[in-house]
Amino acid sequence: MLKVTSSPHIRAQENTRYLMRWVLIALAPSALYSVYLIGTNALSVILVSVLSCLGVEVIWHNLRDGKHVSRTWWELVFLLAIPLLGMVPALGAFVQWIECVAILVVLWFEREHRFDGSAAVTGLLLAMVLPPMIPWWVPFFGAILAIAIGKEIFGGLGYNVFNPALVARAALLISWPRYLTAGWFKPVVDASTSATPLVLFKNRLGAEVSAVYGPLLFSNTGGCIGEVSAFLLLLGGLVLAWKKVIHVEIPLAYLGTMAVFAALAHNDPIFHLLAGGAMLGAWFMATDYVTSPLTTKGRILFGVGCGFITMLLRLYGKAPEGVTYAILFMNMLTPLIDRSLRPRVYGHIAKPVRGGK
Amino acid sequence: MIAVKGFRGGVHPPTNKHLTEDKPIRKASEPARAIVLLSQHTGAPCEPLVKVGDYVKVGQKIGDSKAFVSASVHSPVSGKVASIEPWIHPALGKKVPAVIIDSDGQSTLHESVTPKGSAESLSQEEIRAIIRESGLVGLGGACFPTAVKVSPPKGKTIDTFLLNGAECEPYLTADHRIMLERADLVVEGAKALMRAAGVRKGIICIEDNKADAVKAVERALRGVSGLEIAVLPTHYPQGAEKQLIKAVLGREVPPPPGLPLDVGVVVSNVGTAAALATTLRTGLPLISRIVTVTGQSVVEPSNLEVKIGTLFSSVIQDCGGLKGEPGKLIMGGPMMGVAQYTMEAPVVKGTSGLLVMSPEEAREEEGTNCIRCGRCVEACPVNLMPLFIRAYTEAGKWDMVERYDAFDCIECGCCAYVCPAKIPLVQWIRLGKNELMSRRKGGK
Repeated sequence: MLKVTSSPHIRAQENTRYLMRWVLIALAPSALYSVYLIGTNALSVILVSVLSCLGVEVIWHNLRDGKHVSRTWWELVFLLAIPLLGMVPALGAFVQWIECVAILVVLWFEREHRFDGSAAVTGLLLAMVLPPMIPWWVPFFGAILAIAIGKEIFGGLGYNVFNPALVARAALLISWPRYLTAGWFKPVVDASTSATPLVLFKNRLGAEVSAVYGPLLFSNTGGCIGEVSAFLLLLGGLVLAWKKVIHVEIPLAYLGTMAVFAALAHNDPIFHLLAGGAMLGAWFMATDYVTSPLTTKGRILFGVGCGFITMLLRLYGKAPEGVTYAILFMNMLTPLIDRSLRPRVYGHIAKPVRGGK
Repeated sequence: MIAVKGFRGGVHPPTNKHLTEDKPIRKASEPARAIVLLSQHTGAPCEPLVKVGDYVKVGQKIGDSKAFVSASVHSPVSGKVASIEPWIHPALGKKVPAVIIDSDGQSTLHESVTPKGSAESLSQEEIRAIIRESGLVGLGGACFPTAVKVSPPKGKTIDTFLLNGAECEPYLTADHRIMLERADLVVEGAKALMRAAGVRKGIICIEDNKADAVKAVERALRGVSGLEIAVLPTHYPQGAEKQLIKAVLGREVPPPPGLPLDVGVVVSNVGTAAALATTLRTGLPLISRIVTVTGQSVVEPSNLEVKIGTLFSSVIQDCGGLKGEPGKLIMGGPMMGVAQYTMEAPVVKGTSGLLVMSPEEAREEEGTNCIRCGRCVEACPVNLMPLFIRAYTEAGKWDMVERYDAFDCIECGCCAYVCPAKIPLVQWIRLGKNELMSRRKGGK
């Protein structure tokens, strides 16, 4: 029997899982380092976030596709019931670990599900933008928001308008600002501050922190789990650029614009690049394929927009950080950018002006 | 040596040419029965000139058409016409009329087969007539009648003739071996083609993974004026006419129905040039061609000189047969070749290669949703946005399919090759183009 298909008959080796795997590998040093520095709190946030994202994906896909429906409903009830154990005094401190094990059990039952890896990436990114000292159910709830509301409701992988991890962070930030703007990792060396460098900067204490690049690069500042080391994030980003997993235009335009803006506003550009979520946002969030433009010009415009809005929010906004909202705002413009910045087709004299309806 | 400019987009698939690039061309065994399809080219099909029971000789014209865009066909063997009946066409996938000749094994030449002269001794009109009579078509695979190509309409001036020896398709080495072993024929044929088209400047374009062919052609070009070599970096789809013109001359052919003529260029395959030179020297029309028979599943991958009308099954037997069950049989290369459902299709003028893939190689990976990574946009050598054309085709929004310039697609397959979600992008685009075309015909 000869197989008949239309050409081409060969395919490149890279597939979606391969790309997602590399994003996880690139994030691994930062994640492991934060676990090393912060300890079990960071580990619990990361595990809860990643496992919950995988669990939500499985349950959603099963119910959507009508596969093992009754079993899936039981799994859903099971996983949602476990947080109630937190009310039992003796179990309160361990409930996040029980939930993690429960999700692992569910994943074992659903081991035939084909994961494309995107849920794991979303889960890890969500953990990276949360403070480590928060109740365990914040990342749990965030994961549900990220996968269900941030992604699956639009039609699943590839159809969401906004970066799922940032959707979850924005929603959590509005819902529980108390948890999301405190609970920073407290650096061991300098115990005098529990605020992040950007918070200090916002409170006109910038001069005191701006000259300390070392702590920003290698961990000794307060911040989210993913903000412990700008150096490791940069390293991960460069690995992704080297493996051609991400398009380097976006982070370069993003960080470049931030530096120029900061310099023009008489701020320390290097401080702004290293502080807060700039590195994580530029290399890992803004480069999300689904929510960023498709053409080189579009990606440069996207990066410039992200950098500009980030600095606008940092310098003139109420909150100390602006990366989340900057990227979410530019995500919204992505379809428009794709439509207006189409490449000139071979042999066509003028640029296509017939983009959309 | 000409400084090349390159082209945007494209891909670099594994070339896999090592299987056959060192194998000298050898003659395949004579077919006992030749199946000569009456439509082996772009344009009007031929009418048979013989009847069942007629005795035909090698090189005798057995099919022709009065249409301008067409190419005659000739008998590759001597013997009796057994029947005239429909037979599988390997590129069209359906049956077309064919003349089936039982060979008598004598290979008696037809009276018309006499040496014609050289590129210098013949006039422009004489060469054009010889091309038309010999049924010569573009041997790169598109099979456009060469006689039409070298007869530009009045008012169009051609300044450059490109001889396409890029052979960017993975696996194929037929053109490579022709340039290496028959460089003098390539140069002679190039001169004749240029004379027929009335062009003074010719460039032989070769990719840099064929260094020995470059040397051979350079040697053959010594003392020849008007012809130069351009060495191009290996880059698929450089052998596609439009990309070659862009890469070598920096010119862009206007969108369809624009032709290379519109930018003063004619492109012809090096195999076509060699075939023309053979006709001039021996008088034999186009009754055989070089075919690369290759793939991990073929016992003895080879470059064969095969008579047109030989069945694929017997060509593969000539190469020692297959190791195990075949998964796919492809006529042409893996990027643009046509998968066959039977081994009983005949070699046609456009059969540049036969690639046999094992069932393992032919297996398709299950994909995911489009993740909008933009790799297809980057890889498209025509600067299309394949993901959108696919999405609009799937949604049946035909006006948008057209607005995203689906008709400019050259179907090189780069988009589908790179797609990490394993979406058959170019296949969707073909579907969109077909649907648009039939809607136009339907007057909608």
